[in-house]
Amino acid sequence: MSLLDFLHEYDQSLLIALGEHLRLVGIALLIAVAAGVPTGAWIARGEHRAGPVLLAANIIQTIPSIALFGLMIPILAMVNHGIGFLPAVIALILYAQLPVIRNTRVALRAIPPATLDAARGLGMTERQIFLRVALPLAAPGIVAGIRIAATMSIGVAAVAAYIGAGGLGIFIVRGIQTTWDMMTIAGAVGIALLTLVVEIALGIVQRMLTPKGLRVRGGGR
Amino acid sequence: MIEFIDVRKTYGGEIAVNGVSLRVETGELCVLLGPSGCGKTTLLRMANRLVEPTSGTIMIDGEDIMCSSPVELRRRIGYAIQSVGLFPHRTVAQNIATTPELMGMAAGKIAARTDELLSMMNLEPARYRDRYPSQLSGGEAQRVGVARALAADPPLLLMDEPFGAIDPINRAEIREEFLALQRRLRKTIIFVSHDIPEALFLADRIALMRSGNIEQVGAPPELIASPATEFVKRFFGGDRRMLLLETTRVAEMTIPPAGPGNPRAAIAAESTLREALLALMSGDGEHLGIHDGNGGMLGEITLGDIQRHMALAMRADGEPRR
Repeated sequence: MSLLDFLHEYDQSLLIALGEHLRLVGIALLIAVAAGVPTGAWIARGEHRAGPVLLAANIIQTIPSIALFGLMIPILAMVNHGIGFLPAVIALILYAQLPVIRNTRVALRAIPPATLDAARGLGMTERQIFLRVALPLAAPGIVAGIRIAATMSIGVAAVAAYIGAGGLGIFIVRGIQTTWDMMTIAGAVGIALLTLVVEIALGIVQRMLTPKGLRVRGGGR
Repeated sequence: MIEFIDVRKTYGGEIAVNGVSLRVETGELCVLLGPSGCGKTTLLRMANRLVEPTSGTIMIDGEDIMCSSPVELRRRIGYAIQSVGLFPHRTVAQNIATTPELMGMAAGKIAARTDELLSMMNLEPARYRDRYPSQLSGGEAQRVGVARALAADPPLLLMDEPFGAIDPINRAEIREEFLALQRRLRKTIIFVSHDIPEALFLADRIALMRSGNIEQVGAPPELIASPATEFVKRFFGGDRRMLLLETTRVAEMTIPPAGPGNPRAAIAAESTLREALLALMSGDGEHLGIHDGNGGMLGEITLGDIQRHMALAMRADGEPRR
């Protein structure tokens, strides 16, 4: 059986798995961004907070995903969600925190202090400074962090198949269990392709969010 | 008119500004001059509440600045800084429009005002309005920075070394343009500088600062000819006579009426004594005519007149008064 034959025979279940994978990663990323960007902005404003927050995010990063799933089983079992979608989403959110928080902080701190001083001196409120000056200038850097988080999450979501969260990881898990290489390869290739597509799509978003003034150099002189 | 009354600023135990009182009259350009760390920038930044004074009062046109919110206050005061701080994601026109936009001025009015300011800064509007800061030279960026400070037509301007980041040749040029503009606009300006020639060239009055205190306030020739303290004397360096020649205008001298026979050369009363001296030395006559710039003759001077004026000005040979 060739890979193409396999894809043909399993196209329905592959599509369902792809849908599950996207749903898992998409929901986790939305929540991770909603939590991580404000946290990054918060530690960018107060440098004394950066140490503890980044340390915590780093520690989470060092926990192997399979161990994190294992740790969550007894805790979430208390609400009857020891395995499945919920622990998977929580793990992905936690892993995404480091790239999102770190990149948000770096992007905001890279804005020249004189630019912010001028904004304040010209009479902008703190809110206007953030929305009209800081955020547009930091947007490309923040999206770069989301890109890293997205590609990483797609990979971690594959492992989540072990705790019944579904997704393309199912093919890898079953392929290993049944020593059917074709199934493992199909799952792995699917995940690789998905990563590539998301990476390219977010690259386009990053470029679109880069203000024109930061892209042009010395033209028209 | 802006008045600082016994203004102090301390950071922890460090004294940045030590009870300074200073009054800058309407239409006057006052330069805060001094070595780095003397408190001049802190003093400036207290005027628009970017720094809040530890104690003391600051009044603008008789009103305590603490009566307005910082944001309202800043929109009424022009602000230009050394690193310019243009918004890199906004075009030249959008940068200049910042304060008028915040104040809710109509878009059509803003566009007209932006073009007017660009022309005023010798930047052709059609060529510059849609450029981004990254497409400007250092001098052009500084001009846009000044235009942005002037956008809402504020009566008071705070400028923190606004021409500090450009090369000497362009700096001299932009300085001259700026002085010509100021003669026309007559804004009240507080201008921070650590550059002696710049201060002498631009200032109506200089407030020379050292470690949080004002050492002396006065017109440039006054500080040079009669320094109040040893520090003021040393600050202007060895060749104070030369500086005095460069900063004193012929109009400040007593100009004797013209004698019989027209002098061959004449210069404007607005010229400096240095220019008069050069004219006297390169001309073949003993007398130099002084005109008022509009064709009217005011009189004529000789080398001796300049010598007498200098001797009078430096009467005490610049010994500090205290």
